Amino acid sequence: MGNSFEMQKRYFTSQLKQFGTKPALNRARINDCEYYLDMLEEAGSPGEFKTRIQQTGNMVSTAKAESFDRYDNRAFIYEELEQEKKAEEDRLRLEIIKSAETHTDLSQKLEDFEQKTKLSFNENKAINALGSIMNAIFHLQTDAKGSGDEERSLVKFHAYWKLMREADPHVSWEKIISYKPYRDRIIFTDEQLTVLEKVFREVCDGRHS
Amino acid sequence: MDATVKQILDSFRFSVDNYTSSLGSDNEKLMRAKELVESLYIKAEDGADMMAISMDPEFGAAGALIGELAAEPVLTPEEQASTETEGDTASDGAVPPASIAAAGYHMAYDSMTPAVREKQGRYYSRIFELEEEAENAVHFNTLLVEDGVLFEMSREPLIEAAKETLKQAEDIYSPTVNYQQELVAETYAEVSSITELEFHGTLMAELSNVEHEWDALFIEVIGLLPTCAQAIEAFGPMDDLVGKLRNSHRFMAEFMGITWNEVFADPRYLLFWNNVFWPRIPAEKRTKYGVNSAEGWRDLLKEKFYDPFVKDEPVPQPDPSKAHVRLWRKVFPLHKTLDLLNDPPRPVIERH
Repeated sequence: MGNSFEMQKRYFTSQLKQFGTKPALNRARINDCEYYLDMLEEAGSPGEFKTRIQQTGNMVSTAKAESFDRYDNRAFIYEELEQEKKAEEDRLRLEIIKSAETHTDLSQKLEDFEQKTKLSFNENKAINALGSIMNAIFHLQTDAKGSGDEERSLVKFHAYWKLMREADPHVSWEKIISYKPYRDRIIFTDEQLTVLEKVFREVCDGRHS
Repeated sequence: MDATVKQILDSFRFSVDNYTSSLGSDNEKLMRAKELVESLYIKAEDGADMMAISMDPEFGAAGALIGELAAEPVLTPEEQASTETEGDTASDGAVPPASIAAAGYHMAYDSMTPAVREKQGRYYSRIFELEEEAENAVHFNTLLVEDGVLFEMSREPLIEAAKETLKQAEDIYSPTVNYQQELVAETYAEVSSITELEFHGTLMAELSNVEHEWDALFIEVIGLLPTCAQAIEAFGPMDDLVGKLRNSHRFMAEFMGITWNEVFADPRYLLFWNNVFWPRIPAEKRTKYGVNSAEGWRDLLKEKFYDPFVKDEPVPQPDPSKAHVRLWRKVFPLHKTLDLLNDPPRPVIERH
């Protein structure tokens, strides 16, 4: 194992073998390992390889590939689950990663993005408000008219509806029953929802009670 | 000098030396980094230990500057050739010793509390064995990849945490918690990379969040009738509560085709009633009513706090055609809920 050139080759080959067990999850890292194995072959010596590494950004491509695969895999999950805002947020991270030219640039740009993005936060905020909204609508079906129960249900509905609209300005009854991240959390069948829709609209229009 | 401090400072010194040929020895950041590293060496030789060194502002500044060197513009190959000196290790591709690459692990190990060290010590012992075995830093990093110790260090605590959560969740009788934690332990035991841990971890958490919220709404909805009766038991037959009970008595039959009897025939609701609700009934209430079982409390509520208030109401009829729920985009009979939550029909999401 005394040849450092062979050691470097073995390092990248070992990584490539590991990434190859799940190639779909490691696309960028596989490309990156292949890039450095090619570079090693072309360099022909450890010294020349090192020079090329320094001239090509001190392996910033590896840091980028690792981050790229992480957020690309996550964006894939959110796209499959149709959580649009979370997927959009990860796609924006991917653009930032692609644009970074140095290690500092990469970490600084991602850090700046984390400070200002609200997409995932708002998606979760809207989702979290939904349970209380459906709960209030359900109880309003049976709360006695003018009762303290009804008042509490109305207060609850309006408080959580306000939160949900802040987090998702496009939310509506139609969106609740069609946007999968919302609809999947609701136990009711479409027929049962038509019953609840009437109360929802009455409450939203201020016609309830 | 403290061995860990020496390793860290050696790694700083190596990094700085490494940039000399590519950035030129007159690079301002490089010169400042060299000054800081040498100053830290002097302090360490004077007896400063790891704590003192790591708290020293020069330590943070040196680390930050070394990070910034990676972004500094490199000299042209001609300029680099003119700056090279005989024996310049940075230009001949010389590989640093394994101790340089392992320095961070020693630092992490030394700063661990005894409790953390008890859990993680075995991984670090293995890492230090590999350090001993390795001829240099590249060999060490290769052995780390091939050995899989870093992967196990990530995976095993996650599996242990899932098993611990399962154990702690025994008395909440939550089918969604049990399913999720069993799945986590099983899935993580089968994966072979950190990428897979991250992928499956995110996916399982998202799916599980849906099921937890779904189940909470289910319990609230199907438990409406006993909840109304329980409110009258607790607060007395106030008009508001009696009105709510009568409305619910009619509504649940019309809406979901269920009456009191269907509620107490539902396996998911019974799991909650028998194991979560009933154990929380205070002892003085059990004594007051002479009730000693979940079934007894169910019958008490029905006989004393439900039936008397709906005796003049039309008798609602169960309607299985309405008794359905929707889970993961499919409609199922309501009484199948517990089976569904024990093995939910989750969407299959795989990346090919």
